[in-house]
Amino acid sequence: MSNVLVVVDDLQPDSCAEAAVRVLRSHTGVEKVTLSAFVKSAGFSYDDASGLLVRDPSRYAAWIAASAQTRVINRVVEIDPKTSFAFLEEDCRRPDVLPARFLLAAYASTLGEMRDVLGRPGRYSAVGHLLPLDLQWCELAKLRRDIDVPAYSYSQFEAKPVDFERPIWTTPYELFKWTVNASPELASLHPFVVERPLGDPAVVYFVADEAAAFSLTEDRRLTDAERSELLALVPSLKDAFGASMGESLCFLHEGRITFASFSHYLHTSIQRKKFAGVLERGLCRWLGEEVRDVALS
Amino acid sequence: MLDIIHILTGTEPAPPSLDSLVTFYVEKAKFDFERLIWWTATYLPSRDVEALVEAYEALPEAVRIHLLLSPAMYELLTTFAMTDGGLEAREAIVEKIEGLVYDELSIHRLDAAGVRAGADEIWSATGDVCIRKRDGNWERQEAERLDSIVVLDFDSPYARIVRPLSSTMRLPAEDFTPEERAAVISKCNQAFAYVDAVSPVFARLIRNYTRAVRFRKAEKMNAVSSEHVTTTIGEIRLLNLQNEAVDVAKVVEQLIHESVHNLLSTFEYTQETFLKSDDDKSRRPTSLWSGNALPVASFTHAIFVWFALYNFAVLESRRPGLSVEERRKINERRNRYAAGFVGPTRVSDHIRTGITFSRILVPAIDIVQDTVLQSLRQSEPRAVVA
Repeated sequence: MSNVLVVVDDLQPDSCAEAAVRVLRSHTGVEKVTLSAFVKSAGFSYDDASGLLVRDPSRYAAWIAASAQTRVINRVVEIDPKTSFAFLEEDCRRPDVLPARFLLAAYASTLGEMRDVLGRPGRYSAVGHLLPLDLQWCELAKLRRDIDVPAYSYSQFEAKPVDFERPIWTTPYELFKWTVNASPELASLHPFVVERPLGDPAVVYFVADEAAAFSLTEDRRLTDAERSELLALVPSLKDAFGASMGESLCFLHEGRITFASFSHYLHTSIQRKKFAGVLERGLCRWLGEEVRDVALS
Repeated sequence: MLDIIHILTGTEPAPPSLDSLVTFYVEKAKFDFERLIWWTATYLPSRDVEALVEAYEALPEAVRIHLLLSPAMYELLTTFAMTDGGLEAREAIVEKIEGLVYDELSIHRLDAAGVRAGADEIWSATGDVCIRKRDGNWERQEAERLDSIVVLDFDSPYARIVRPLSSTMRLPAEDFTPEERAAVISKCNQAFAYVDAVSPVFARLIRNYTRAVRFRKAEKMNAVSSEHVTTTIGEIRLLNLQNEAVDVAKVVEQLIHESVHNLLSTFEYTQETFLKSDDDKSRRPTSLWSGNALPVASFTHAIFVWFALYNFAVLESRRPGLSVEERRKINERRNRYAAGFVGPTRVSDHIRTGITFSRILVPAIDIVQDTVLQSLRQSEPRAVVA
């Protein structure tokens, strides 16, 4: 078995996982493996008679012994409902046969027996707490009273009138759309409107113990003070979302930070030139490997 | 809540609370009703409280009990207790309650009485009986019932009302054709018969806690759903049951699902509410089953609903003579019902949004989760579910 396994969902892609395999190749034996393959090799199979995922004790014991030195980078942020098909013999099965949470249970229990896992299960996700916006703001605000969170309004079926100057009609699960729109028709069944925070958007991201931050506004660089305040947010992000990796969108205005959203994916950060370096240093430090100098372009 | 949890396992013998909670409910509703009468006599002296009391006392006891059990009466009593409005708002509610009492008296006497004198069409508080004046005579019409008890309501004002905040009654009611009515009633009868065959406890749960099923046709909504709201205890609302895609298994699920909500709301009304502080519904935990964002109170109810459905599926799976395919279908449903309970986290950890809960709630949630996990492991010792 490889020294490092990067586990991904069979159907939900994760570009960060691909990048992790690339940067680690020169350091150690690393392999990307799908969730279903990982769980199967740990001795699990679907038992038709009981309709449950069962674990063969001797295969499991053998696998645990063989993977005693294996480290896992867990990138299963969400389990696709169809991933369970990978366990089932017949293609005509409906997704209901094995809800994703059964796979999550099997996966999480296996990870629990492994010595070194980057990304441990939390609420709603195998990698930490996967929360909608309203609950994200609630969790972060509990930890950091000096950080602002957006104003918002949540109503039932009918949009309550709101007095926002910069309304964004959206859903609580939409982490990435922050453009002002004035149209409730875009809203979900239960209207959810957020007031776009004042200020300039910026992103802070982290991979294990490495972190970086950047401005999203063209031609506007972060000041040293802003950068250091954003980086100082990272421990609270890790705590609030049970995360080992992720990125957060913030708005900077007149010396204050408004926390907008957190994602376990790193869709925005991965596009930055410096990302590969941060990823490599973060993962290597976690592995305890010596990091060769990475040219910072 | 151990007795409630036990009821929801659907196993016999059920604790006495299955029946006595209903009696308790009637007593509390009577208490609230009498308090409202006292309040009216004291603060609205212009209203004829004596006549109202006389009308109420003229009703046979069985009718009085049904009146107190009606969702309409509960809705008014609850609105009266919760309203922020002043005297005018309260008086409007009192007027409606007077209407309910005089409607029942009118039906009992087969003649419009008291404040209802002059009306042509009068409905009972539960929506099961209507009297109409035709050519000077009053004709009585009764709704069909499930197992001779649960009202199957297509036509009453309570079935046809538009409620802007209701997932089933937001849009105007469309008319059912006679064939559609027959199909809906048939599905319900078959569903109930099946529930009774699998678990007499769940059948009694439905009979005791669901006073009326309101059927709503609104094909514009292009959806099939069921609903219970805490302001109308005893009522369940089923949307578009006439749709051919709705099979008996779905109706079974809806009847049990919504009846469990009614049981829990009855518990909350008579014992204590699950939530001790107000919820402005601005923070909604995601359901571990549907993935929808739910207000906290709904989330807490849902846990027990899925628990009940899980136990029903387990009882179904124990029936003798099941084919392989039947067993597979039951297992699939059982898995869907169990899904939120399995996994690496405690269900009770998902409701922490700053609300104060009754001290009995979190232990009850933990007990039901552990019960499901243990039950799954018992059915297959090699299964890993947490």
